[in-house]
Amino acid sequence: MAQFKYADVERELEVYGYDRVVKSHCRMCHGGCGVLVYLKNGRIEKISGDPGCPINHGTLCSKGIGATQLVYHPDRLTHPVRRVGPKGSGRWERISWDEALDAVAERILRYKESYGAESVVLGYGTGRDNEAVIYRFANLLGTPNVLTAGHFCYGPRIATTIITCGTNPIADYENNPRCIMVWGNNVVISNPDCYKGESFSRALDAGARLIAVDPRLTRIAARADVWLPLRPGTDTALALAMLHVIVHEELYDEEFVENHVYGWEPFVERVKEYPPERAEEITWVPAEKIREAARLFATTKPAVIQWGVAIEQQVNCADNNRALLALMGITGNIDAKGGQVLFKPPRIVNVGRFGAHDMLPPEQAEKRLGGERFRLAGNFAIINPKCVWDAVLEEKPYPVKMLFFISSNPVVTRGNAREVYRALEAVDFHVVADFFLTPTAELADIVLPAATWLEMDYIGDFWKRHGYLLPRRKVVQIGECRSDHEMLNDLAHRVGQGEYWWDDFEGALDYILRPMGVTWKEFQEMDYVRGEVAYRKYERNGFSTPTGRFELYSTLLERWGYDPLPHYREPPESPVSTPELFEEYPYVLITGRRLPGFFHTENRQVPWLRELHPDPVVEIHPETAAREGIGEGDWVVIESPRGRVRQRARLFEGMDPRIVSAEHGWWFPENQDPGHGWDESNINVLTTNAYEDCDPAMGATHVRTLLCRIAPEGGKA
Amino acid sequence: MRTHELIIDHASCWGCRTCELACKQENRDPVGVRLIRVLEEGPGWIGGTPEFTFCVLVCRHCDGPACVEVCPEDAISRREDGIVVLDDGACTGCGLCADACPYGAVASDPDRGVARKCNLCVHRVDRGLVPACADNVCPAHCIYFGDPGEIEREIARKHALRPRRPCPAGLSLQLDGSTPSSRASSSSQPEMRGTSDASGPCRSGSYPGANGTPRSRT
Repeated sequence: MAQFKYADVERELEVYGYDRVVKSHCRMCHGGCGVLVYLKNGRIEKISGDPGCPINHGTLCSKGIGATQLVYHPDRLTHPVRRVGPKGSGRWERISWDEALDAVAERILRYKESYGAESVVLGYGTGRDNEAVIYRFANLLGTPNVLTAGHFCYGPRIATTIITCGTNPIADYENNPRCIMVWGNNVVISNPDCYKGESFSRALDAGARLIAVDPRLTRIAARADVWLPLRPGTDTALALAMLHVIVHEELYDEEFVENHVYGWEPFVERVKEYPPERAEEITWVPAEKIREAARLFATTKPAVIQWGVAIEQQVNCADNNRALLALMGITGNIDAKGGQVLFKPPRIVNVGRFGAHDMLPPEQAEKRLGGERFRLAGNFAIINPKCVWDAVLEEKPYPVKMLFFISSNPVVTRGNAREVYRALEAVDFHVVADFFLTPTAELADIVLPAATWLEMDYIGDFWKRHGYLLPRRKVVQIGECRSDHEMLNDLAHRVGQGEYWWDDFEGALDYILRPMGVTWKEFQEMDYVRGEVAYRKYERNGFSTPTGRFELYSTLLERWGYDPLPHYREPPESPVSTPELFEEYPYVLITGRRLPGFFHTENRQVPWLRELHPDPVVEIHPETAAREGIGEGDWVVIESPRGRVRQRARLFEGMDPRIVSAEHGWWFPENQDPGHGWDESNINVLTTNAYEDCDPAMGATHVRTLLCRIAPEGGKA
Repeated sequence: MRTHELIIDHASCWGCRTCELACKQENRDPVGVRLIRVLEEGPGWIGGTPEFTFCVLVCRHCDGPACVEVCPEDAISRREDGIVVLDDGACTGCGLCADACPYGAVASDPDRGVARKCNLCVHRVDRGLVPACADNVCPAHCIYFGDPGEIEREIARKHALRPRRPCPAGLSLQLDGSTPSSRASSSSQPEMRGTSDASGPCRSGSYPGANGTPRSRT
């Protein structure tokens, strides 16, 4: 009888005759897992998790395994192209890298000369670990305008945690929290940022109690001790009510509150405004359930909150985050072992310094689009997308002449998609770097072929807050594809930034690693490094905030003219704020539930991943579906005051019948029309990006909850 | 004598479908041919309690496999170690095995005109490797391969730590007509050791009764 050993690398090499196996670091999402890439005749044959990696312990998700089909996809763009027909005509000619980069450089310099560097906007999505090089390029160019997802994804966590406690507190799953409160997050599907479904699962297997806050019944919610199915968009009210219970019943950590928080008295006054009975009216969650969850969270130590993007894509973005930070803080879980830890990165040139933010002249920083309006965002070099579309379309407050999107598909991912589309049609010059000709790339003048994570050397996720660094090792070369990092390093030399860049990008990797005393070549031989792990560091050093304390009351928000304490705002469209509209659009539409296989707009052309989920799906409660004459699998028209799209019905009993849940990120690569069906099922055709609907501090677009009506396509039978 | 089995702890499954990709990567079946599938059960409400689970549909390698009985070409056989192997080279694609399988675990490859099912990666197992889906790919660590007694003890240990009962019985499968449940429930149920309580593709694995451990035996 054979003795079986899991993930037996040596045997795997022997049995399949692979030539070699390369350790690398996956980047199919905003996460990052250690992987083993098996090759035969120079071709990737298999990808598996690296059992030696402390982040994922050998496990992986569907996206990581599916990466092989992404790399070798026949539709990959493998050389630069220049558009030869009108925008959106789908007519392109092949050009060389030199021609492409010279043309891009010439435009950058021309616009800088004529309209100022701020007329050139660079942008990125979430995909390729390229934020540091893009900011470096932009700051050295002198443009304060880098358009990212940061206004409503992860950026708010960075901004709100830095102003509250100095850095982003990370759930310490390795040390077995005894209680996990999952707030609007499906970590087991998305494996986001510093968190992995695997470590979360292990903590649960070790017996952690579980609280789920989610309008939808996820599997996590079904496994929870307490599930709070709140009315979408009311998270701040729910969190403030839980804080009310914890304060009122004196379940908080007295020592921490006494010695380490700032603004306790006004904070107590504020939470008094949110008794659970009031929150019940706002949130639809029974007051007793709120009390039960608050007590469980506050009295089970250590405890963590698993949070994510859902609460950030709302008008209450910053206050949602700040209210959850208050929950972590006053319960004494901040920087506690098994709690929410302020991990230290290894000694490297950090992402902020590499990003050369200190090189942007102050007079240019003042020109940041929307910087005056969204001042929390502006102080973290983040801008709201509508500011860019307005600057393109109306030239206010000044003209934006060039957009350069690197791994970003804003036509599908940003609020009010039709306005985005108009801006990309109208802009003077538009460059895209991506894997495929996406709906966004189809509106470009030049498209550059980007390398996937399997085609580059990099220091894996050196911006992360869990403290780990892993070498991402180049495994293959596809066509003429280049990493965004190499591309910008080259372009920088062509626009006069050469002295701040390197002959080739390996020089940058050496530069980042230098404080640790290792070169890229040496790091490449290592499995991973981690910063020193220590707990309760605030006892010696305080918190890295203006007061040195955990700021329940934010002195920075106050200085920037905002309410220094979290408070609840009703969503811009809701049964409460717009009752007349609600009569016409009688359902609360939530968007963006996470799906295995996809990452925002990515992977819909990858056969193994698309097979998991071929069509866009809208979840409708069976009672609601019956009322509207909709059956399982029917195509449904979903309509908001801004437009209509189609998705297929799935009858879903796990939410309030007043809620409808649609998917985001849909376009159809298989559709040969150059638009690739960008407005067919794209939920952002329905969302609003009006300034008054955005978070006033962070500029987060409120894309997660709105009002809609639904009907079977072709009318009721 | 079964010395090694594939056992799935459905109560721990998150529905992430990594196992499906691991199987694809290993067996290279075309789109539409799926040897392992993660199905949703629910969501629904049982006595006021919300329930939502996943079940992993894959060949159970039954003790008295109906597919072996019905195959006119003898293309399916049960090995000494209990693994039921379909030799697709000998298959003519008549589809009788797919109809006979009470779990709907036999797929058909229309391009090649053959049936396909999970052979428990015998090409790996016979060389000392773990089947692809069970080879430490699952972020929930809910797919096990090895000694059944040891696995059961491990699953029981995990479940004992859980505050909530992992998988209350009674949640009905909510699957549309095209999915295997209807085929399973309309076909006669063969007597099978270890799986005689089968009433749907996953029921026996997920809801074994009052004192059993949720699992999917091979």
